[in-house]
Amino acid sequence: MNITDEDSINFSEVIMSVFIAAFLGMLLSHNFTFSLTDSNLRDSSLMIQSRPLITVEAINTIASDESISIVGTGSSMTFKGLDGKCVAQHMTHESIVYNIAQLSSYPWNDMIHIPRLVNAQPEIVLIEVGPNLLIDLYSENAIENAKFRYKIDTSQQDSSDIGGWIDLIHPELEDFVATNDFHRMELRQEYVTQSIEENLRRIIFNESNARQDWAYGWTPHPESEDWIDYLQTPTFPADRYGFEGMDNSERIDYNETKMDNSASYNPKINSYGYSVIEYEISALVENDISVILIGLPHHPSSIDFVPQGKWDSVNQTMSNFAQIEGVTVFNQIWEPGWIDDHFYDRNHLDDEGRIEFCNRLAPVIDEVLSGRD
Amino acid sequence: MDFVTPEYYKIFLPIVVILVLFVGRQKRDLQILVMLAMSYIFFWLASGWHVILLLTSTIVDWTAGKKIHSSSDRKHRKRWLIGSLTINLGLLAIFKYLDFLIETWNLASLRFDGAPELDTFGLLLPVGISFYTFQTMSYTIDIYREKHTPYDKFTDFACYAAFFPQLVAGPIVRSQHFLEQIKDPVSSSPYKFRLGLTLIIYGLAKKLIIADNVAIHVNEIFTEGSNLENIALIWWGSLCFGIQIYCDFSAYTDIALGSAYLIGIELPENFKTPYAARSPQDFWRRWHISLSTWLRDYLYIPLGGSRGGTRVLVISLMGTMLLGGLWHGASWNFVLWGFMHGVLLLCHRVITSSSAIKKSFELAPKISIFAGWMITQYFIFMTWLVFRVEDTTMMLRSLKTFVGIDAYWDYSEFFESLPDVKLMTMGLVLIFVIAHGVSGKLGGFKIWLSKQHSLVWGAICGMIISATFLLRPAETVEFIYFRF
Repeated sequence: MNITDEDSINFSEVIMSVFIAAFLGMLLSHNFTFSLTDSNLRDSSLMIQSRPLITVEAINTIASDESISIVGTGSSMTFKGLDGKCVAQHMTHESIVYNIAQLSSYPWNDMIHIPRLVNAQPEIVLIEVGPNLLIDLYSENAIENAKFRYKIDTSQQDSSDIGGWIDLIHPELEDFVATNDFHRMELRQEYVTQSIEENLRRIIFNESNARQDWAYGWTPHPESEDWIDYLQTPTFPADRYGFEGMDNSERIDYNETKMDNSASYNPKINSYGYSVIEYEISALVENDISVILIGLPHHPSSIDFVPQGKWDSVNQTMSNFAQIEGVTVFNQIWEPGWIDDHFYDRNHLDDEGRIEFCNRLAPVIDEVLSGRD
Repeated sequence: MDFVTPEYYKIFLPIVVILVLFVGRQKRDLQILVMLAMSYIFFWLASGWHVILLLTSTIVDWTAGKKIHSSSDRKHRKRWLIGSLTINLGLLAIFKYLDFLIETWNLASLRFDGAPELDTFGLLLPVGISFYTFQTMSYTIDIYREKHTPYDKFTDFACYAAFFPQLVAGPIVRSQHFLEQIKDPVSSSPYKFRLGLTLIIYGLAKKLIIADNVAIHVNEIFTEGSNLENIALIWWGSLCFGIQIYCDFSAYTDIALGSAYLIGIELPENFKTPYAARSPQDFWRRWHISLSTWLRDYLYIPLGGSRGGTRVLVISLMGTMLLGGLWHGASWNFVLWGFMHGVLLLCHRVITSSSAIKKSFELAPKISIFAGWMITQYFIFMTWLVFRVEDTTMMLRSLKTFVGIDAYWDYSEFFESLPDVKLMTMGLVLIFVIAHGVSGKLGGFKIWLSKQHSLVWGAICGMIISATFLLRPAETVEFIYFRF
């Protein structure tokens, strides 16, 4: 095989060897990138939570599900507020209610899954609308989170996931959205060295960063028997009742400073979040998927501190979208009956709150489904 | 733009290869013009308006070379030489050392009442100024010494001064070496082309897999707040930095050589497994060879070298090493680094001249060679601390710990202090040490690989490409020698 004479190499051989190197390089890189990182991302050994990794596979599961499918999307408010199994049990239609909401998610994170969701053809998609979502991409934290989510999500996608959302990607974040196989591989490559480190730790020290199956933040493998259950009722954080353990004066102080001044509590009708939700709704209803806009409740003591008219744009958004055929509004922000015991903190429900929310949501879904029949 | 910018491989290099080898085929002058234009574009993309400084240096040395050659009047020739050196070294002094001198003055002025404090100019260091200045200076000096005649064409000389693969971080090429390559139309052969690709792939792997991964450890260890009293941590830090700087710099040279080979030009080697060196002298024959030979030919020998007795030897050796250290950057760290190497070289001369040492080499050659290697590398890695740790207090603390003064050994604290990715980096260091050792013994892997069958070459390079892609850290570190 050895060529010892320099002159015996010709240019066609050089071209062939370059082709072999490029082909083999790509093949090995692609296989190793995904095989090395997949399991470690899934078991939370590389991230605090592995939930951001589930969306694409969850939608695939929904696509293969032949029963009536209801899909809940949105932020941590929906994630902690929606117990899919509870909702399904309270409904008259036999169906599966999925909760694929993500912590710290914004509409611009969720929008990239719309084409896949359309292909999965669920009957109803729940889209969260709230004062925390009708905003612009303003803070470093939100930008960093968006980069992270785009990297994780788009590295799992394929060309069929590209849709109208591509035009809505914030220019600053375009580099973190993979639209071809090479870019997908590049985005995933960032986790390779950490993955190798994790595997070496397991081999040499028998230690691991992976989460145990009981922990909050853990997600089951898509092929495990827990998977379908998890997609309906994820592992919620342990109950803590009330308002982050604050006493009354602390709550007042918190509400006075946060509810009035916080940048995330300045919803706007012409915000980036609004345009994205508009895209999501139109893409879904155009494909005969009903949409329920859900407004999750806030702690009653916080609601009292919202300055007059400050959240009008939330109401305005709901009423604007309610005009669209196929869209139903289920807004619990201003509804009475929400009490201290329902809440984990100022804007997230806990066990009792989830039951209350489930009781109120189930009939609305039933009504929409009846309307579709 | 530099050698780790994707655009260099996607756009720049293919354009150069196509224009030089295909469009300019057999048309020497067109090839030179293309290489010159592309070199200036490369420099402009790397360093912006500083391209004017390169042009100035080129015009000055071109003119000086012609004037010196055409004159038989010794004074006239000397005047032109001094003029050229003044302008070249003046530009270097202004852009590289002026702010450093002002800062040193300001520091010293604190000790004297009423001494004025001066503002620095905040000048940005032009990329590659130390390299091309030395290169063009050697051209003029060689003409003055009547070792060579000037280039016939300005474009040839400008191309030599600005040739993009070696412009930014060397190797420092001698004018005759380059002229020999461009006498006739440049052309590549399939073997040269493949050798060029091998060098580029190999260089990128060294830079992105090894240098950039160990850099994360180096940066973590030599940061403020680190516990620098732990011997394990300092030894690891200095080992990692030694590996980082070698892999970073030799990778640049490999890519430079590879890029030049693609268009059929051969540049000189700059490294020969330096960590296999068995003495300080041996180290300087293997490390940054183009600089060490430049310093030898244009500084050490003119200062007297080893031919003028002990005093002259000490002065010329220490002078060369101090200036060689300062060449690296405007910092007292580099001066001290050069000083330490000067002392090492002098000590080596004293020790090897002793009859006891000579006898030990005769009695137990293998043990003596091994001991020589161990002692040399111990001190070489110690000097890297001076090179890397800028803060004086931290540097002194690190040096004390390195030799075990007021220091302790705590393995678990060392392990905890390292960045998240530690086992993999330790594995890479181990691989480097073995590969460096094997390369020191056998050598020639890149040439061997370039001569293999397409399947073998493709398979090995494919694996190297894949490993480079997979194992590079998220952040690419700028080439260290870009700063010089």
